[in-house]
Amino acid sequence: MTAPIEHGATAQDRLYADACTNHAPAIARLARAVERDVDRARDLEQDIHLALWRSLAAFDGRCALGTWVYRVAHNAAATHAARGARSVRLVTLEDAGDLPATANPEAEAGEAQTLARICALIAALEPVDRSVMLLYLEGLEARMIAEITGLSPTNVAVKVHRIKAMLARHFAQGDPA
Amino acid sequence: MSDPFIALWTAQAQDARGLSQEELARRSRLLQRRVLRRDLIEYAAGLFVMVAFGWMAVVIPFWSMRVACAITVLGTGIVMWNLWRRRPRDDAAMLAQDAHAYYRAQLVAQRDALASVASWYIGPTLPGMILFVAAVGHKSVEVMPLNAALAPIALVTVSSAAVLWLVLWLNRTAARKLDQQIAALDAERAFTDD
Repeated sequence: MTAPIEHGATAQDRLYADACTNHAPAIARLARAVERDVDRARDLEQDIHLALWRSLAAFDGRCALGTWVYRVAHNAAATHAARGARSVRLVTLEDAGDLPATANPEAEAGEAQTLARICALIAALEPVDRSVMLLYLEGLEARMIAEITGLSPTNVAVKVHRIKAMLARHFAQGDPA
Repeated sequence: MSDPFIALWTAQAQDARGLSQEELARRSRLLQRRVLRRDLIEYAAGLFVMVAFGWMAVVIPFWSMRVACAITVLGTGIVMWNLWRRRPRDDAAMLAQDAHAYYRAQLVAQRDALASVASWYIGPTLPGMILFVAAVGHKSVEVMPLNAALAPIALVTVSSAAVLWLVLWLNRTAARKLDQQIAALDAERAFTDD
């Protein structure tokens, strides 16, 4: 993939270029979290980019560009996940604490395994909770997460608290590696 | 950034870039082809039924069956029109809703389609099917004993009714599950609005 071409660009193209400059890595991480197959994750990433570019024709500035980008990306990813998860029972963050932790945490050392386990936790969550967790991992503030998900900052704060507790339970003392 | 999980997560894919104009155009064409293929597959079966019954409406010598075939063609046409009206909207800006609203809208659309399947999918084809079976029964009793004529008709009617009932029951069960999910989302929104 290459950076969008600026020559002769429309407002839509310029917005897309801005969005990519700031959010392309987050879109790639989102795609890889939602789709574990490498090739399909790359496809999903490109589908999200296409959906984002097409949606920007209707961008009216009523919300920040970053909020728009995250909304479009997460909704497109949720649609993709729903196609593959019709027979999978998803859980809320309240129930996610019951998901089995690894039997032998020492054996799971290493960043790749940690990320794989985080992705497995994310995949088990219901769509809105999944978005909250991914946005938390992106380091976004509760106010921004609330804008993207449509939940109140208080509700987001409660969910983030549960996410931290769940991560702590699954990764011993909260040290991922 | 003190949270080690956030640091680990955001260290991934730092080199990711957007798509070039050429790649966007190529993916756009691919998307259009995908939508066209989906539509073709969806309507091919309906078109086959319409052509087959349309042909039978012309060649069958009995007027009662010809009328039944014509009504089946009409009913199938109504079903296809309903499918067209309910096809997924290609509106990229819809994706810019907040995640909660978008997810709820998806569930509501699925729930409504499932809950009303009797009226928009099964209902329009029923008159043609009933008339066709009745016409076959009527013609059969003219050439064979009553019991021998009605037994296969009764078997077809009862088994078809059982299958239809099962389809409706499965759809209503799925719609009720979606209703529960929507109620849970609304409860979350209520918490949100507090």
